[in-house]
Amino acid sequence: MTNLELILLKITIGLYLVSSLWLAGGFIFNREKLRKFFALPVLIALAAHTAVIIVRWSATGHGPVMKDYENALLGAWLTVALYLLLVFKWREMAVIGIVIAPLAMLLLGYAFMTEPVLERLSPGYKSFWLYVHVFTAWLAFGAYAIASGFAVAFFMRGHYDKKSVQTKIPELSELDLTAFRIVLFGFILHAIMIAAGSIWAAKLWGSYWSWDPIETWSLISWLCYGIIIHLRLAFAWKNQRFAVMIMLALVTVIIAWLGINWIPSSDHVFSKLE
Amino acid sequence: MFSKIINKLAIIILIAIAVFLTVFVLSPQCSFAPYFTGEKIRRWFFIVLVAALYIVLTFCTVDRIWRQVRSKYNSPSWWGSIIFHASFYVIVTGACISIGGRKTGLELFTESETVIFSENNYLLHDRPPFAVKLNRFLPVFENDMPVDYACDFSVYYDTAEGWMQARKSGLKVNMPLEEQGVSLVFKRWGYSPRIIIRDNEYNEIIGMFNLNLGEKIENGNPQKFFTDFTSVPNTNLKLELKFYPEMENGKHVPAYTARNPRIYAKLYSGKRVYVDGYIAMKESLVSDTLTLTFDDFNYWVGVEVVNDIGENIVFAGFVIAVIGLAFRMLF
Repeated sequence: MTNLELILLKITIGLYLVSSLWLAGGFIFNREKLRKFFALPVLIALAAHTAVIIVRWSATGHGPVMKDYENALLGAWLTVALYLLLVFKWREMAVIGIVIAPLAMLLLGYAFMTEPVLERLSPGYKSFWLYVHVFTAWLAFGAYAIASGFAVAFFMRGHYDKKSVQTKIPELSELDLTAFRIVLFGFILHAIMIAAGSIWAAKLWGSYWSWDPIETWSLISWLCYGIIIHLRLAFAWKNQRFAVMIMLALVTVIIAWLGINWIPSSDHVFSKLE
Repeated sequence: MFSKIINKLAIIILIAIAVFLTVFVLSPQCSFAPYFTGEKIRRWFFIVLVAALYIVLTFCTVDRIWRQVRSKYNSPSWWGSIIFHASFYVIVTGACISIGGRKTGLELFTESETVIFSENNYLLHDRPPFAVKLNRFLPVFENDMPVDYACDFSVYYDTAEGWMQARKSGLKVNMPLEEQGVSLVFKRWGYSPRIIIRDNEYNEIIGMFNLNLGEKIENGNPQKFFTDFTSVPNTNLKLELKFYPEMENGKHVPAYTARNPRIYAKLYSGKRVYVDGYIAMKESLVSDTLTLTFDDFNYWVGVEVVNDIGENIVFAGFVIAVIGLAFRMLF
């Protein structure tokens, strides 16, 4: 890692921390001024985050697609970018930043603790499908994280409603429907991610599916979201049930990502062609 | 009522599949079978579950189409859902064809060597045989790390005039060579030293030995070398061979690039050791009865040969699934 990248990364983590406090402060202390500019600190943090990625990209000569550090860097960026896109369309949805900003900070913090050495792409990684695979994976995981943010907002709104406290959090039905749409969006990208990974695997290993533990986890998490969508559409499991389910399903996604470290025999370790 | 039962069954089966897969992945791994899930999914209960899902899916899809056709409001979103469900047929069918008809194998090519692919070895499904020759292997190193591999192959067809070169084709990591529905996927590589063993009467026993990459730790540092233990053809001699790409002042330097190669050779029969030591290229190890010379070296590559007609069906299924989901989402 270059010095410039290190400085920018620390600034980015700091900015996400400020964003988290800003967003939480706006709600806890009910400050209208803070709430009015919810997206502003996140936008500044994302700009710094973009700079980290550019510096990294120019130093390694490839996109951030290799190993934990780069994955966390890209994953956090896509999640925050997706959140900001959502907020620009529906300003009132800014509340889920309470979940997204700390999540981005934690992801980058985790990345910082790994060993972010500058490495070239090993031959196995040199594939167009890798970029499709990684990009859609993080967009899907980001969408699931945002949907979980909606689930948190759903419970917050429910809590305020019970106590008859006025809040700027959108209506429960609105939160529920938006969360569903985002889960569906993630589900499509998750399917593309699995398909792209299979095509890449066929070209790299000669087998499109080898029941590798990481592949299997990815399928398990996809099935979980499939079950959630099915339950909602066929049995009208909405609102509170839906919110609980999307929060639980996020655990499978976290395992699918971090599981790479726990399972050394996985093909996703990529030691075989190095 | 019928739809509700089918939907409930579908949910139960999906949950059961997810639970079984979770148990498979989390159950203890065997060091000898790292791809443990692949073995376990062949168990009868998992196959029954997938078959049940297939049947439920059929009823579900028929029911959905029936309701869609009868409905006055033809929603594209609803059709998206049907397309998505139908894609599972395609994927599962492709997977079944793969499991039943997939033929794979590992072929080792030394430079200038030709391998013939025919009905006998790779089930070409009545397609004509062809031969593949490795002309050259070109590894690209930067700072002694391999950054790319390129193989230069020639493809030959069996014609009335004999084997004729049809085309030249490259093969790289992530870029398989495709011919007659067979994919040749780059898998591994190594050095192939040419060893000449001469007896007292100066008779030559020549062998090209394909050595795999090995590694051992010396003084805390990983030492890379290429190693094999083999029998010398047509003799009762055993040969232990190690290829060190880089050696300076008698010490191994961890390296992939053969700038200053040495070999370690131990030639023996039973308890009798004929020669044992390190030599550079064109040097010999001499005993009273045998002489072992490190004449030259080139590369070998290991290629995974895959003949799988189910693969493209699965990929088609993926495309249909994504189209279906996109319809469901966008409309």
